[in-house]
Amino acid sequence: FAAEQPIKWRLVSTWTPTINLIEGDRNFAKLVNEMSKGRLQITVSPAGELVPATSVFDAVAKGSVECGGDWPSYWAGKNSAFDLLGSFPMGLGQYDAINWYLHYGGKKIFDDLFGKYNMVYFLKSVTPMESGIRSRVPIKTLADYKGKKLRMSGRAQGYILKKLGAAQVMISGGEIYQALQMGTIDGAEFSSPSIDWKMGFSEVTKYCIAPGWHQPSSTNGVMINKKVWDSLPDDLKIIVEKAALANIAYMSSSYETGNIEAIELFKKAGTQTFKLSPAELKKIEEYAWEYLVDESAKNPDFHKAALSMFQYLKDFQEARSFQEPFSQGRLLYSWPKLPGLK
Amino acid sequence: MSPEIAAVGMFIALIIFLFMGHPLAFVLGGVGVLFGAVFIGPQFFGIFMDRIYGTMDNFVLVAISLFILMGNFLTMSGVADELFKALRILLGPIRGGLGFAVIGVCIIFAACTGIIGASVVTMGLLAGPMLLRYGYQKEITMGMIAAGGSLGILIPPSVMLIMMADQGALSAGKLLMAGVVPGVTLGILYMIYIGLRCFMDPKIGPPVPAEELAMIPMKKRIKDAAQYSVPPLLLIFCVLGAIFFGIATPTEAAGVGSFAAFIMVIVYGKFSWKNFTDCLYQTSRTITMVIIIIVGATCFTGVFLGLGGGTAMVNAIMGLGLGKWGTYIMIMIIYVILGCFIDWIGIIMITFPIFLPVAQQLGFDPLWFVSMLAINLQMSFLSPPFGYALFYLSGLGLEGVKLNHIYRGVVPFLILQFIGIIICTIYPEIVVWLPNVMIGK
Amino acid sequence: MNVWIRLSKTIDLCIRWTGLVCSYLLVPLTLLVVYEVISRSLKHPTIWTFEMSIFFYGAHFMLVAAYGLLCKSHVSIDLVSSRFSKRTNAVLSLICYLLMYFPFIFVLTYFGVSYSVNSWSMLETSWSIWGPPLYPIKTVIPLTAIMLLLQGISEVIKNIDILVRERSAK
Ligand code: NA
Ligand code: NA
Repeated sequence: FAAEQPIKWRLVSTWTPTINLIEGDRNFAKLVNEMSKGRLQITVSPAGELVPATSVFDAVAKGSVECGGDWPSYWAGKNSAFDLLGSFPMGLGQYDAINWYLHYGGKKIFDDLFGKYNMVYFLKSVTPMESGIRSRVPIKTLADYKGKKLRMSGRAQGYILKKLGAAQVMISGGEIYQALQMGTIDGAEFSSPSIDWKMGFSEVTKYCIAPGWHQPSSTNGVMINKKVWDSLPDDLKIIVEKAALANIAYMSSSYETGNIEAIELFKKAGTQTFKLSPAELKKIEEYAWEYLVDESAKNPDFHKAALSMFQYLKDFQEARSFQEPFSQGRLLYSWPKLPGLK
Repeated sequence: MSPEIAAVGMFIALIIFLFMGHPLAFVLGGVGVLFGAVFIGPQFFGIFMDRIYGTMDNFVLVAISLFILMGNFLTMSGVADELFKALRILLGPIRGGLGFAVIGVCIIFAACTGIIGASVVTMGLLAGPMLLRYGYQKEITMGMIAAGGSLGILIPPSVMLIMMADQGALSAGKLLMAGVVPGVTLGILYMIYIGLRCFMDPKIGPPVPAEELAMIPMKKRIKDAAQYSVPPLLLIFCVLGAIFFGIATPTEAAGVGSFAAFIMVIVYGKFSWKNFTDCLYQTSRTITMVIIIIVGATCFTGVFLGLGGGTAMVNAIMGLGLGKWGTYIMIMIIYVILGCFIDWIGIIMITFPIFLPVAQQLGFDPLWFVSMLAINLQMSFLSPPFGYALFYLSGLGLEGVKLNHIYRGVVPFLILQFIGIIICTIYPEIVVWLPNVMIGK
Repeated sequence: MNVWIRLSKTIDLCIRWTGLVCSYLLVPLTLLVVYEVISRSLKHPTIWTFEMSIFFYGAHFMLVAAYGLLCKSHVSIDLVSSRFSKRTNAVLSLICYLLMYFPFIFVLTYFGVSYSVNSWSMLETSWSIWGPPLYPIKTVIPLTAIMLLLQGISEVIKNIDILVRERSAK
């Protein structure tokens, strides 16, 4: 009775070690390693170590590595539907994304799309709303967007910025700090407050305009090469699946709580925050839907995904309104006089 | 075979084939292919494509191409010639005077760009031929250009420092500030060294002969210097200004610089299609020399990291348990060795996750510690036999300059850097003072 | 042998020619960068110059790599080899081409072709709002590899020629 050789997988991440999104990949690997008692060993390589962030898709599809962590919007160039799955301006919120994926047809959409490219996919965390735009010059209203050079990723976002008269500038995460410092760009979005804080943006920006309409939530998952997946023993397949599921709950909520401290830190550092009004957000929503309809006409995959996603939102609207204000948590009116509450 | 042995094997193979005289870029790639095929499996080579495309897709590296083009246009226009002629007469009576000017320009250049290839090659193209023509010793000429050009990664802006800050969870602003004082101090040390050497032995950096000087009245000297230095200074202002006033990124500024240099070619009446084409040819050869090395290195590094060689080696050494300062010295030695073989991106990726927690445990200030690693990596660019600054210089093919002139030339500057590291270790304030004053603790 | 020498000369000529054509890629590269700086300072930044200039840069340094090999401009260390005879150097050079150069270039060609075919088959575009096609620039990798393969063959012929001539001289 020979001992079973452990199966070794490389997981290439789209994140570098300081972007704490990589914790989602690391925690998933840890769960799999523990649950399989070392029969399946996943090691995580940060972006750039084996392959650059934007090549993770190709590396997994071709089988150069066994699996990769991702944010699907990075693959918009392969198929514009990925952009929609990663995040969409004015679209799914954090808990929406999980509802839709697990119980309302989202998983099938992901499976079909990644299946086209020779991969198996599991969602493994959803991050909450991003910070909005951090800027050197005050941007207080939608009208202030005009003429500004803004770093923002994504195509739908680019379309909306164009409509607002701002220019989308594409710079990689590592270059944003310097570009802001030198004034090459007026403002930038990168990620949620806890991650933005670590990037040192409080040193080079004084203002922030919320909410992060450009990315109300972002999905992160694990892509696994189809051939590699098929050769995995069935019991290990279940472990991978359950590890991803457990990871969704644990990591999604971990990102959310990390923001509590970060928002406080930005405030202490003197960052002034403005908020867009509901009327302004409505304007952005109009532009976002314009892009959505245009792109659906061009790409059947995009149309299929958009239909499923927005059918969920439409069907949920009634229930959401019924639950209001409790559906996704609420701002409290007052505080209980609880001894010890700070 | 364990990853440690495979990793050591890669270095040995690299050295053997390199000394057989084959181009470095292809030896790096070839060693990667051999070891990858044997120890990982050919499927893994897919990542070569991803890594090479990553090099082709890198906006920061575009600056290398454009700065090299600028350098060649400046040479073609004759402006560089005139500038050095004027400087030589102006600084004439001083032994090693031109050497001061070169280091000075290097510091300014360093304040514009953060990519080592760009500053070493551009300074090599502009200053190299002039210094040699005016009788400067080959060794000291090569040494000062390699050392001066490498300051670019220490004095902000610097791509390397930004990436280190990113990976080390430090404020990019603070780390960039931390590079300023050590960078400028090293520059000054270089000047002092050049001054002393040339003072003791004028043959190394000859002053202008008294007879020649006597023939040119002081008034004409100043007039010439003003006249000839205005156009190139204007260009430097153009490039620097574009960066400082936020009109352009360093890459874009390099583009503006080469365009401006081309205008000078026309204004000075040096334009002809043949010269223009020759200039592009020359530029292409230099650019491909610099960047194809990066391509080869990225394939080598991919396999090295894929084997787990870096982590294994670093772990083995860290396991020795040498205590606070023993570990520090060990880390510095590992950096010099790795820096000879692997590109700095790879080094940061392998070592930061291991070294930084250890450093924190040992009670080192992370800002100071990472700055020391940066200063040290700068040293690895010019430590023989492997160092990218050395290779770039030898790739320029300057007349009569052999690789061993370059090797011998950098040794004194390496010693200066070593002294610099010791000083910054004993007096950490040199590193952390400026960032703490400017940004706060 | 004559046929081989002719082959080598033909390859050299072709590669020299591609070197000339590709060197001119530096012109649009510079102009694009300058154009962007100007249009941005006039508050009309473009969405396309950034990626377009990267394409020119990437295509340029890759496509002139074979020309660089022809001109011997790629860095090599001649500290040891400069002490050897012409014949020994030719032998060493052939060994290196066989063990280092061709395996590497073969991997680049093989994986480069599948890399670009893959990109063509999904008509891959960049993920930016401008969304230019990426398959042309990705095809540059196999093109470069094939040119290097050819130039490598030419270099090998030249080295063998040295050996043959040294022998007949004896
Ligand atoms: Na973002
Ligand atoms: Na610099």
